Amino acid sequence: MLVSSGRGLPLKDGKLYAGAGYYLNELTVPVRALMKEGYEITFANPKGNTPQLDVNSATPDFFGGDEAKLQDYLKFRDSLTELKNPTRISDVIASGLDQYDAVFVPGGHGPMIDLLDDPDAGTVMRHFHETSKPTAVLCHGPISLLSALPNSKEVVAALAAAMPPELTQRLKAGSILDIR
Amino acid sequence: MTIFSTAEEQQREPLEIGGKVLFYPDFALRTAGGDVSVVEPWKSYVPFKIAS
Repeated sequence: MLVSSGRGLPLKDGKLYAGAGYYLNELTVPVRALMKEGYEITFANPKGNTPQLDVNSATPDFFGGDEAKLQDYLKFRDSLTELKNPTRISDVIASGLDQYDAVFVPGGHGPMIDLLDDPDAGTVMRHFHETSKPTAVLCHGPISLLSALPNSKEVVAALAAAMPPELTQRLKAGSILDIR
Repeated sequence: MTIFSTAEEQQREPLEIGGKVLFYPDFALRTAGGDVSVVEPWKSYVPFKIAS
């Protein structure tokens, strides 16, 4: 599972969304289900630091309005020691990606901070595509697919700078993202 | 896969993040050559009956 290392999503007008991170339900619900099926989860991010919970996601609204269910999933999240101390994505790659069955990227705005143009995230995405293993991305998670582009940093910089369409087209011509 | 649509993001921006994102995820993926389909938000495909 790829998560962000980021602290703060840059916004227009120089603003910053400091609360950006992973959404509690989008991470914990799939993780709990996968663990129940016997899968071992490896959490990884670019820096190997504790990923930040999106401050707006720890509300009962995202758990059917059920406060007890929210507390249950918060407790479950707190039990995930590997989430507190994730592996660097580069170390996961070095250990061999063939040992993994699938890659999953949950949402929250976290992936929009760093996973979208992280070279190591790109290596992971390309590996799972090339080996026809499952790639699951949810909500803001799909933005991490951009990392698979050979020039993802240029593309993201152009997007962030609201480059003219013709420049974006030129960038696009050199790097086609094929989502199937 | 599912993606947070521009319409959904624009709905959440003032409520959740207090500003406007630099770009929207579905636009970004389209710009990069992705084939992105946007369907009606919040539509349930689960049939149900209301008891009378």
